[in-house]
Amino acid sequence: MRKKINWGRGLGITALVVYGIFILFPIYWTVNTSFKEIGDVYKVPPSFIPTRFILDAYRFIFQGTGRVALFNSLVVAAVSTAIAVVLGTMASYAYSRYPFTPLTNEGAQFNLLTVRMFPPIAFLLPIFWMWKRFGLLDTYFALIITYTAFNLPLAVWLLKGFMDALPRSIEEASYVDGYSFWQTVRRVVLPLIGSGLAATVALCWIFIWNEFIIAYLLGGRNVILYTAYLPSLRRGMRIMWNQIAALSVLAIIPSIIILVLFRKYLVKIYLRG
Amino acid sequence: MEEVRIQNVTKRFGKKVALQEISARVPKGSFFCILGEPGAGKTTLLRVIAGLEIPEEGEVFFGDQDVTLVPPQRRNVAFVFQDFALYPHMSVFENIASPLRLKGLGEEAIRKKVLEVASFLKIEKLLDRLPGFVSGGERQRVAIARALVKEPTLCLFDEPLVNLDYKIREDMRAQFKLMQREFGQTIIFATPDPIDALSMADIVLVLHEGRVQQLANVWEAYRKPANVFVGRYLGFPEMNILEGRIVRSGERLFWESGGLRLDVSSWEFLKTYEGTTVLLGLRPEEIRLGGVDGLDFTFEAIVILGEVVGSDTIVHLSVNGVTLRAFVPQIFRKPSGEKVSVGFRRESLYFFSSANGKNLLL
Repeated sequence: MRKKINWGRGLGITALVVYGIFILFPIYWTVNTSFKEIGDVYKVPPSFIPTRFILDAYRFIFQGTGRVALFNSLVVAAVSTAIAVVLGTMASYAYSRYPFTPLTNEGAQFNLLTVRMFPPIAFLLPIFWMWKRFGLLDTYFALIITYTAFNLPLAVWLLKGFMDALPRSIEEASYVDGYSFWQTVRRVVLPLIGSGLAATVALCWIFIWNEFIIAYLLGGRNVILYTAYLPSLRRGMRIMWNQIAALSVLAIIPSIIILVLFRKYLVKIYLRG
Repeated sequence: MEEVRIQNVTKRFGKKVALQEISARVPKGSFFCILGEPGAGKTTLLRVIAGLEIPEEGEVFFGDQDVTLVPPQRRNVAFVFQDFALYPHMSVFENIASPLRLKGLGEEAIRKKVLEVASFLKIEKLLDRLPGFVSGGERQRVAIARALVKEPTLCLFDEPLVNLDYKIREDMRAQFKLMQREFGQTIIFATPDPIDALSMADIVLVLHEGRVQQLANVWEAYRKPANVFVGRYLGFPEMNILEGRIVRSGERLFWESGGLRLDVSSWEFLKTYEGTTVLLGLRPEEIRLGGVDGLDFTFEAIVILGEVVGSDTIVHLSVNGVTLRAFVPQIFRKPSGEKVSVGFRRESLYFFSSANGKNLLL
């Protein structure tokens, strides 16, 4: 019997390969560029395959402000994500379980979500002036609180879905078994929304890690985040593409770690829509 | 463990009254059944007893202790939820062991107790699995095991048989009865199914729209239903209820509905109802088909339809245009249109007020 060629499958694989190249090539190009000398970067035609691994760009990033900027980004993203997820867990529990109080009814829930419906830039000028007035501009505190404000609605909205899906009777069974509210949260609620927590951590982190405008406006001197530092990598009129590429490669690493660790939970949350 | 007393309990959700002045006594070691349609307030009553809801009015007593405001953690009750509410992330063993973990027992003692209950319920092979990987009937037994292992003062079951298929349900009824005998548990069991009540309960509390319709020994409620609702609800198939007038003809008193006429002179009290409508109740299982000699009332009827239920038949009959359902405990095969003689005894008749549905015989 002759084997039938499955055209649909072939077409699908071709499409995936094309898409894969489309997505992966820029990343490859960034890595490639990060190992070049600045002179080689501007060469025409460019070299597609690196012949020498020159670590100058990485050395520059590590010895200078780049390292500080990466560290700042890590601190701000980690602390703000942690706050958003902890507060988000508590708020989403209240929203899900007690939706009739003035602070948690539909109107209040909608109000919280509206924060997320505007682009951050719409609020940024007033926020800038507010922090300036408080004398807190360019501090960890201002950056962390601002990011938390934008991430909290996201966290609440994501986690509420998981809370709603968790049958109340399971908590009640735990009470009847003799466990207190906090014991029940630890034994039953948190483990059962675990995948939601993981996905929320990942999405909050990614929002902060990739964010530029807030970092640029509220930070800059004392507390500079790597996204705000990137555009400053130039010598006069010359853009230092190799240094930008090196910093980018380093910046991709935490995101990759999080994406790989939380991959299956993220897929779940995107499938929920 | 002492008895459980419920006193004038009223529970509202917003404007909706879920329970209206419920009072009941659940004797120690009894199998107490709360029977009612979906939405009657059965679950709410169980939750009030468990401490998962606080009633607006009234009290709940365990023995002499008023527990109305005592949280569920400190009531020492067990609750088997309608959806079983097993912890999906814990093994069957951990689910069952859950109430024991707080009692400060050693790992060995816990293991021993869990195994004991699990082997009684024949789920010892499932202990390592997650609840998501066992069948519905097994999941229910896990939930029951979790309740029993606690050795509670009181076991509350919320419609545990509803989610199971027919065959397992039959099986579980016997299991429940055996289990109660073995453990001597006081059990409060909520169900919409009158067969559950008739086959398992000692005492039945019939609820309708948050009000007690009747609270009695289950067979007493069956023989002497307090009103039309209980008459209809507690029994399978449903009681025939016919609306008719009491009329006098010479010295005799008759109950008359369409073409059906019964001599009811021997019920003295019906005299006062002369000229009014009265509901007549007659249980399908008390209508005899064929061989009716010696019965107090006999008629010629026409078979409309024979509805076979398992190995029994519900026969729909027409007596001079009035339809009746009769229950025959065998497969009944007579073609529709055929004539059959039917009869029943005087004791089989119930009379209910057409105004408020009260049983006029009580």
